Amino acid sequence: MLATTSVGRKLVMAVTGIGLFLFVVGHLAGNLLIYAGPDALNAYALKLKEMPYVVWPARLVILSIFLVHIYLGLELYRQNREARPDKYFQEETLRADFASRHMLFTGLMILLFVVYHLLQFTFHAVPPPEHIYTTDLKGKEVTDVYTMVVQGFQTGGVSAIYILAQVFLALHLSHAMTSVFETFGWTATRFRGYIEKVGPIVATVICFGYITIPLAVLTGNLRLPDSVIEQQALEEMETNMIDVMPDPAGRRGDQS
Amino acid sequence: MNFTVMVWRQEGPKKQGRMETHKVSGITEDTSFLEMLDILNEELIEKGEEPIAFDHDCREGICGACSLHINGVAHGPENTTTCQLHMRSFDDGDTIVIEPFRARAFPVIKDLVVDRSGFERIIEAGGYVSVGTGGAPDANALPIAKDEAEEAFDAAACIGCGACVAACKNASAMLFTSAKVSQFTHLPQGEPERHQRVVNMVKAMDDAGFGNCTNYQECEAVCPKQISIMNIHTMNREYVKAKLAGTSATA
Ligand code: HEM
Ligand code: FES
Repeated sequence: MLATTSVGRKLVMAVTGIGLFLFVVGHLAGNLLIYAGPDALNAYALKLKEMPYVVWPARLVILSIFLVHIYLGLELYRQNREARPDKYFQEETLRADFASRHMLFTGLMILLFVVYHLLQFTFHAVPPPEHIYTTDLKGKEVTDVYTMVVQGFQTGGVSAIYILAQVFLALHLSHAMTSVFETFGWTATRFRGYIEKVGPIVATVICFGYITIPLAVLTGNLRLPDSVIEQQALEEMETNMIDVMPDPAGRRGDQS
Repeated sequence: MNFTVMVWRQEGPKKQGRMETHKVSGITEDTSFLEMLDILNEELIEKGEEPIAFDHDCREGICGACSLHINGVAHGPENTTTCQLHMRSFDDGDTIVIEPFRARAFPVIKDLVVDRSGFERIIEAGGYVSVGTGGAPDANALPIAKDEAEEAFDAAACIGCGACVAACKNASAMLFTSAKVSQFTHLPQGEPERHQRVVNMVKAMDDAGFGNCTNYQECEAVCPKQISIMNIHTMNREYVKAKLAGTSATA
């Protein structure tokens, strides 16, 4: 098999990496719809939901690509350590940049983040938000993804995790997106200077694109829809009322 | 000039080694690095101690026999072979750390001498061309574009010293192997074995126990012959082409 030789493994690493990169770009494009307002984002989410025969195969493909990439990343790391069993007493670094020397680390941080991200926004297992709202979209009752995202990012800590994760992704991509050209041999001496800039530029653009969303929420540029604010106010009043209203038996609260 | 030299001592293959410290004094700045070691060795011999074993042959920077990892860098602070390094590149009173090239594929034989025969096996696997026997061909009978000739010649400048492996954080031999693949890729003489060569040489490289390339570029930074990492990219491209053509390793 291709992945049994050193060059072959790097090629598979690069192909799967490009697959993941395309997902990262597509996902960003979808997320940026948040700036077009609640309806645009919710309609997009609904459209995805209404195409399970497209979405599920795509998810399976991405998952397998991710697993292959991670497996090979770990293998690559193990083999490269084994290739130098006795370390140097003194070892300098002349060229290799920070990003290139921490690919496994940044990769594993991305993995941790993906797990957290799915638990939060896909499986709703980790709040915030505590409560997932639905909203009316052209007469249909749909999940209010917009509100979910804004509520999620209103917690500073959550936004911080997202921003940090994007920095790790940027570091990973800054080496990776130059490296793929080299791995495939899509280079020539006269283009070398440009290709070495592709990774850092692509990484910066992607990172910036994603980070704007939590920042826009934290700075109040992306707000909850009025309807949700009203609904929240109502709920709050109700809970407060339960607290202060004496119950029919004359006792207060749940001091039974 | 006076120096403190910390040097790796190891009695033989698979023996436990250690760093040993020596003082060397009265060295002129025009002394070459290997001459400095010669002077130290003479003192050791006079004291009845075992001299430090290190590899060298031409001492002209062309054979690739000298090795040494000096102050954390393969071939030391100048972009040359160790034999072309002079003590003027150091400051009086410096402590100089001297280690063997380290890689699983380059096991230590004694002190600073390592076994680089992994490189020989890579060459045996494909570093040759088939030629028709008979009279010498006429000059210019086989036209080669200047750019191609230049690239082939640049790649062929590799002397196989192993600094690329020593410097690579993955102990990968990609720069060496790719230079040997690339020098033929650019020439019509390399055409007949083109696919088989790259596949076989990569296999020999893996079998010898070298690591994988992750594009750190440390190899290019230390190469005394300025072999470019563009050769690695050429080899990767050749490898893809060979695989797409259905070539598998024969050795
Ligand atoms: C969104 C997620 C990810 C994307 C877009 C991505 C992308 C890439 C790309 C394009 C490469 C370059 C392949 C090459 O060198 O030619 C790469 C390499 C690599 N990735 Fe990822 N990756 C992701 C996640 C991960 C994860 C979760 C890991 C964890 C194991 C990981 C570990 C690695 C390693 C170890 C390398 C090789 C580094 C090197 O060659 O220096 N990646 N990645
Ligand atoms: S001894 Fe021949 S290159 Fe250094």
